[in-house]
Amino acid sequence: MARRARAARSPALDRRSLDEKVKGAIRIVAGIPAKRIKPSSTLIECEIDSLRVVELTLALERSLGAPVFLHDWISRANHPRELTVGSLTDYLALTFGVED
Amino acid sequence: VRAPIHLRRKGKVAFLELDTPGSHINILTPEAGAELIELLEAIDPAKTRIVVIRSRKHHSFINGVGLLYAASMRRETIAKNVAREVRRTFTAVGACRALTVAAVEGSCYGCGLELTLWCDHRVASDSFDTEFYLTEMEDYLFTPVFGALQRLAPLVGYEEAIELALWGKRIRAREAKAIGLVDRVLHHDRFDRELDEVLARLSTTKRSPPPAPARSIDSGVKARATARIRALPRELRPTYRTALALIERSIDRKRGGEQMEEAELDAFARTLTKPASAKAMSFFFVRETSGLVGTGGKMRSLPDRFVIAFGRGAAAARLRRIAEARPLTGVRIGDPAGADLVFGSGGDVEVQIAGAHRRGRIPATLPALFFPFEPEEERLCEIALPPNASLPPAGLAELLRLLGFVAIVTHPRGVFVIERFVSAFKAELRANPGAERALRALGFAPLSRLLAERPRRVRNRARRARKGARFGSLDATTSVLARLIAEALRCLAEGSLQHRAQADLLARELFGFPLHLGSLFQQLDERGGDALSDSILEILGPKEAEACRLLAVHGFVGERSEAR
Repeated sequence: MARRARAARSPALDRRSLDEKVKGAIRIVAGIPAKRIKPSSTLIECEIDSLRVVELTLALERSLGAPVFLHDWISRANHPRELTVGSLTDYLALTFGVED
Repeated sequence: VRAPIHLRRKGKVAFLELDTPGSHINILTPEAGAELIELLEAIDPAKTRIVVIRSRKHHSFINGVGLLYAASMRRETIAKNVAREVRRTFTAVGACRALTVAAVEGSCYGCGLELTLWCDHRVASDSFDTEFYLTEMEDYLFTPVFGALQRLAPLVGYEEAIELALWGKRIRAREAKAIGLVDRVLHHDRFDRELDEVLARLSTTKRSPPPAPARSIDSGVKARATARIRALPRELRPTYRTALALIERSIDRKRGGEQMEEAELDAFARTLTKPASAKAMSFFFVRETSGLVGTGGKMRSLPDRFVIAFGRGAAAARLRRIAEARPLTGVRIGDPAGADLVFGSGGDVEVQIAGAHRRGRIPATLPALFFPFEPEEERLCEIALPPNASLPPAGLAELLRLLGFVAIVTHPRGVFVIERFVSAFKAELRANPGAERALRALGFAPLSRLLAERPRRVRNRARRARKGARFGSLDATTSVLARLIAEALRCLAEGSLQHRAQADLLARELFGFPLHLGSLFQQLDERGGDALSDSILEILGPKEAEACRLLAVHGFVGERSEAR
């Protein structure tokens, strides 16, 4: 409830810009080329381990201007393979009330 | 992509050197595990007499298996299958056809410690950062799965196995040697040379290690462990009882190895998927976030060679004693200088630092170290930066971490942030004595050192109030949580703290905020809009509009608060 309410005050954020922000944050943190960052890529494939998840959190917070709780997303997965770039964007879209 | 493990040969000795790419610590990732299996299976005993597992990182042997995997497995069957697969790496070490030696320098945590248990011999550096610590129960509330519950007790005995596996006791090399966890302690400055001597001796001995001494279950130790488990919050007790039962099974040896392995896997899967474990694992990200925020969002690193020098003040003398008692690889203590502590690398002094203990004035121009408790006994330390500094001197936070401290970087306004939190906490307990019992029931741990300092009349009032406090009542703790969150929000609003994770970590380290509840701000997120929110707003008052604005920015936008 609290996070949905926060999203209501970020009307400028649309799905496309969210996609870009997520890819940009991953690219900066992992130091990999953008072409390797696809919706189906897992965090592990993007060379993001548990410590880099923390860097990614801070990068996303800076980019989105609001707290991000990646553990909340991680703990919803049933397998590490489910932790994909697309799944992360979906989670953030839901959290921030971004529509397609 | 660089390989996570390097193979180096020296005569009939093969060195398998771990070096996780792009990380300042070693993680036993599935890729590293697979490579280790491949290398071990290719060992030809005719050509290789000894396999040494060691690290290329300066201060990390192995820190873990990667929490990303554990935190993203919410189903027992998946958790068990993934763990079984990772376990192959450990059994490959145990099945190696050459003698195996774990040469430990730096942090040896969780599955890193477990990996050493599958080796025939273990040696460790006496550098203070060489620390053995089973993180699973203490930090994440799930049972170890890669052999600790089977292999520790036969090696170190029932009591020490409980201390290490259940209660997360951290030990350095000398204590590890004393309890039988390692066979030899090597001097940190002569590690390679002394390791060569050990290997030379081992190369002439037979493969089989000396038989483990007979171990038994001491009824007194069992009674103490059982009582301690009974004192835990109700939802944690089954996890601890499971771990204790597995340790006992490993001693009576009535069951075969395969049965034990299955039991260990089952226990892991069952405990990992509990809500308490998920909350506890979330704190890993809080802790690391706090560290990263304090150092500018970059991975921590320490120069290869370091010099620290101490001045003449009381705080400096104390710091010096601590540093001298905790020798570190690559760190040299230099000559006394003007400030409490002079800190630099490569012999060039870079920055001066002031020290303070328990109470102290914040210097106007120097970064200051503040220890709220006895620094020899406690872990918490505040690095208070002056207004003209945005980050602490490079490497200082990492140095303090290696010396055993949890450092929080702040930008205080007149008073150390830790002092503010302690004052807020005590003030609330004075106003609401019934909260003490409720906090303890919730699992707040090291309250005694704070509460013992209260005046006698306050302690007596708290004692009288205990009868009135409902056991485990959240109502009684709401006011304390509200007071702490309000203080945290004030600190965030004025910039004394930069991220809520820092307040979460302070609550954990100062007051023992229970891991199974997640973190201070997680409570706020989950309970936003209820009595907790109202209490916070009451404490802050309408005049603290900026802080209330931060309430929104930092995730607090419950309906009631927005209505105001």
